Amino acid sequence: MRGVIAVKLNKSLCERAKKLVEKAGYSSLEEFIEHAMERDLARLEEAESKEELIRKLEGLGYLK
Amino acid sequence: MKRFLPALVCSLAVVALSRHWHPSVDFAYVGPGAGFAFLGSFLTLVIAFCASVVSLLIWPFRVLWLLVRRRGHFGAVRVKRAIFLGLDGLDPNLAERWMEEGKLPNLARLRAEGCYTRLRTTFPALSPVAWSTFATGVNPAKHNIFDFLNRDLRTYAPELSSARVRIEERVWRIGRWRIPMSRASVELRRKSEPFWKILGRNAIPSTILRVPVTFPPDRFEGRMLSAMSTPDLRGTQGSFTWFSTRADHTCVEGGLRLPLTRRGDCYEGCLPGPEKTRIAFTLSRENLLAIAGQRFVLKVGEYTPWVRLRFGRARGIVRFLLTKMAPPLELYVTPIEIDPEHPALPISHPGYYATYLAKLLGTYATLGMAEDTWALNEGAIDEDAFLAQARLIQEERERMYFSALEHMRSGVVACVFDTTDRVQHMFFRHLGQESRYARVIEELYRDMDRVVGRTLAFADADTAVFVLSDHGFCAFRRGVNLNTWLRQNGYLALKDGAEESGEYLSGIDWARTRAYAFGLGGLYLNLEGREAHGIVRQSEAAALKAELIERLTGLCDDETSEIGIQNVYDAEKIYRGPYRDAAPDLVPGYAPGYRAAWSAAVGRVTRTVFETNDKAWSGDHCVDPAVVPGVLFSNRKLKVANPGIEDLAPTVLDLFGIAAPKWMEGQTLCAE
Repeated sequence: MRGVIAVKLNKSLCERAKKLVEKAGYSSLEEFIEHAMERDLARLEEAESKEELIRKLEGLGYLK
Repeated sequence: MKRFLPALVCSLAVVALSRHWHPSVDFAYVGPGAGFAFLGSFLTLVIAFCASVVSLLIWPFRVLWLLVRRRGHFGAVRVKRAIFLGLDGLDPNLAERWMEEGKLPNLARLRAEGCYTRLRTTFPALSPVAWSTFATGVNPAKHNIFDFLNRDLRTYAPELSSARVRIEERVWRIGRWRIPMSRASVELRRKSEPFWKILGRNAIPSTILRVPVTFPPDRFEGRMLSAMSTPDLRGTQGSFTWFSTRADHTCVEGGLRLPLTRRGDCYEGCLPGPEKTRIAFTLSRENLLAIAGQRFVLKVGEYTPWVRLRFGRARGIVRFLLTKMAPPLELYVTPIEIDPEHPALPISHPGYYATYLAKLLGTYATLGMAEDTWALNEGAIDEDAFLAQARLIQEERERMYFSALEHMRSGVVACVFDTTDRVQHMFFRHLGQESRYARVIEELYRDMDRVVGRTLAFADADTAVFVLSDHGFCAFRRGVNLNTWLRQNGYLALKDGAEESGEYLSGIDWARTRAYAFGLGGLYLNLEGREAHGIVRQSEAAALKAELIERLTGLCDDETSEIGIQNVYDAEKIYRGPYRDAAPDLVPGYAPGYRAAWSAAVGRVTRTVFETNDKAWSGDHCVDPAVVPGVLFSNRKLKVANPGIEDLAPTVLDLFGIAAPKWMEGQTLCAE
């Protein structure tokens, strides 16, 4: 499928994660792994400039 | 000359006859172009024929495969088709009143023959939040949409909660050479799984039209056209352009105000597009607009058809509206929307679906919130022009919706019309007043009733119909700036002893701030370990929340002596799920008539807590969710008392005989 890549993960790690996916409220193991990656990326990646973020909100009727 | 004429004729005749009786071979070069053209068209026919034959041959196997995929729920299927008609913001109080008065006959019929109930909405009562819950059947802490805005925990900067568009820099390597390339990457931030993906996995196709928070579109077995949060070509949520011959060019919110300059008999202007591109145009004395090789005669108060424009590689569409003749001459241009025939960003699934719709039904507005509320707020257009624009957009969407219903043999069609929301936002101030616009909202409801009537014509015994709204509506007269209240009460501090802050929390002294408000529906603690400059320890959080709940509940507006905040909800009690970190810690429940002030929505700290709303945007729903439920009508008898918008996803799965996944929270509404 376009926009998706396959990643090999340790089987026992995945088994452990699978048991918790439902309990935590995720819809799938993929969603759980993506969320874990996003949390770390948010810490490591450089934040987008505040001015650019604000410019993108222009025209949103509920604001300003 | 006369002497030579017979001789000349004779010699020509001899040459002609000799060629006739003694034919010779002539050589000429015939290029391959004609042959390629002929064979090319022939090849298309051959491919089409082969594809038809292959399709016929594999048809039994396809049917068999479909039956295998549907085997798990074959016996439990209750319907062949389900239709969701979403009317964003349709208010139960108004709908019930006008049904009683006989003004909404189709909704009244649906109520009498099927059922009607008020529909519990989400915390907060905002469209992106509520429609995400509709799609996934879960509370916001499981789908990650809590507001229009999300805060960046590193910088406290605002970002759109539902989608993220980024430019990715890439390099193509060919041998020794490196070619720098960049492309837009778009990410949908709504999590969990919408019901149409689950249906698709079970070979039940869906057509999802304009349901909010579907940009970029999901990939699934079905078709989808994106809606709310789809940007314009400038990358904003919709910025109009307002040209004028008037000399003073003040700044406007939500758009650009630019000059029209006189040159000879014409006016000249320049329409800015994305990334510093521009397209020049002229407007003659006879109101003839010439732009990019196209010509249109403008009439005051009448929109042009969609005008296709090319800004570098990106293609957009706009409408022009001459709002005023000289002096001053004023020309309004809609936001530059993504051209659905050549989308610059993914706005449909499959990718060609947007183009297919445009070719089949004519081009259409693609912007997430296409009705230009800011243009009316800022006076770039008047009420009539706004209503005309909303009507044009509504007609386009009706064409798509009814075309989808006509082509639906089985599966689901879900379509959300948001004209109801936009028009109520802008015309609520006229409701019940002596005004020529006093009946605009009533007429809007009657128009939606007509759409319901047409929908019911498609509903046979095997079709379930649901007409629903995500929230109701009420007046917005007074704004509350919670950041100002927090500063006045010692929870928030500004740098250098300032009395006011800049936009989006700039100027806040985070080292002395314990709580802050952000977006339309959230109050956050400046929590240590979560926020970049958090100072509130986890062990102190519960006590601080309890203190804020106690002090803010019943907050009184001294100017009107009315209660501005009637409830404050603790996130611990209303949210459960893996995305709780992104959720507000407290959700204020504003009383009807109140909402987050305009200054608060953009994160400014001002001098006064309460302010009067004098904008055309005079109706809202960002209040206590308990006072703005939505509506739910169905041609089926439903069983659950006090249904919520999260119940629709498990209900549609149940109708098609599919068990709701365990992470879904809603309950099926179908009677046994």
